[in-house]
Amino acid sequence: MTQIQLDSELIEQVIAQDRKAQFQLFELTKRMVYSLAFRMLDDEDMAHDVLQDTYVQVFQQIRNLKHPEALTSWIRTITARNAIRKGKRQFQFEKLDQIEEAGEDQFESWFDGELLDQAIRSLPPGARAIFMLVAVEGYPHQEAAKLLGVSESTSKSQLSYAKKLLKTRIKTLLQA
Amino acid sequence: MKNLPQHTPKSTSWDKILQQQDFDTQLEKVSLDLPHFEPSSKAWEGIVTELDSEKRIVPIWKKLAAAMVLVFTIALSWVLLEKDQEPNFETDLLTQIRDISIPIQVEKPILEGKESFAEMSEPSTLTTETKPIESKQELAEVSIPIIALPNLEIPQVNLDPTYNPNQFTASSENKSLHEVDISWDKGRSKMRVKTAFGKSQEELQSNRKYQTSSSKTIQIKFKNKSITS
Repeated sequence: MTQIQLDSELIEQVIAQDRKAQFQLFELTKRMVYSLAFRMLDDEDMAHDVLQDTYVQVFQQIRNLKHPEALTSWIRTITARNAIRKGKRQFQFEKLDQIEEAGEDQFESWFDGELLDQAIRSLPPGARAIFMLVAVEGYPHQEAAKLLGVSESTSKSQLSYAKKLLKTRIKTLLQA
Repeated sequence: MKNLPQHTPKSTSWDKILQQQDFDTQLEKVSLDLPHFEPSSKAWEGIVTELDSEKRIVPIWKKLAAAMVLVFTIALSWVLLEKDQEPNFETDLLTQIRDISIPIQVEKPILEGKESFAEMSEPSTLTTETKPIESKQELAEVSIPIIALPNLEIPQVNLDPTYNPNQFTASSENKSLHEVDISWDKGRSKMRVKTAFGKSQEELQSNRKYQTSSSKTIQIKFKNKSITS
């Protein structure tokens, strides 16, 4: 997660509803927003809807932002919430009792961001959402569970399940 | 460069490298460096369209406030207009008196009687109530000519001094065509009066015949037979 530094003057212009400044902010942050939405939903159309809703919300509510320096984090939060709202139906959490636990094999490989991204998008929707919120976006389990409407223990167990699946998928991808 | 000395790394270096190979450690580092995806080029147009449409939506309280202000303005202007507007008279019914300069000297008519037309006629209540008309010219006093009524000849009728219209005697020779039924029965308490008023002369005659025949005689009707020769 690369932190984008935004000029305070640009933020002030965006608050003043300057269309050029809004476009400039969009250009600077659109990849961050779209990538987060696309990775959580694994659907281009839904990710574009989330992108549009997010920027409309940002431009309308930016006046209420108390700390303009936290604009990037605020945009990411809005994006995550919109993505959860959009993909609420597909975020179904499998019962982990019925799933066979994979062996604790030692991981002896190296992987990069591209490989991890492919592995993340192959995860089940519920586990993928938990992994994205907790492991990538840095939300605590309590908050992630609240956003997704599940218990904290479900969040923890789903994260553990997601990591095991990722390990297996990355190994498979490396062997291919 | 060939002559430079070589240094041996620490023995723990390999272990450290292996530690970094751990899945969770790699995950922490790589998750910060995930690739970025480019959204569609039309995404900004969609956002602008959405923003413009959002601006057009006016809250309901603003609409209500505007409507109330409009109604209040119309009512206020109506009241003010009604207040300022003078009562509208039909000018055709009013007499317009203008100062007319007459080149010929006209003598004022000499009043014969004390009562002039202006004095006799009472002032109209309608005109005094609505708008007083200030007469700029004095009304000319006009004498009313006395019209003599023609003498009518009324024929004198000599009435019998003994005649009393309220007095009715049964011994009157003229039979009345009115029938009066008087009953003391409870069921027929109301007095019923039959009159021949409005009936034609033929009907009256046929009724008289029927009444005389139906009470005491039997009426036999003969059919006319056609005689063939």
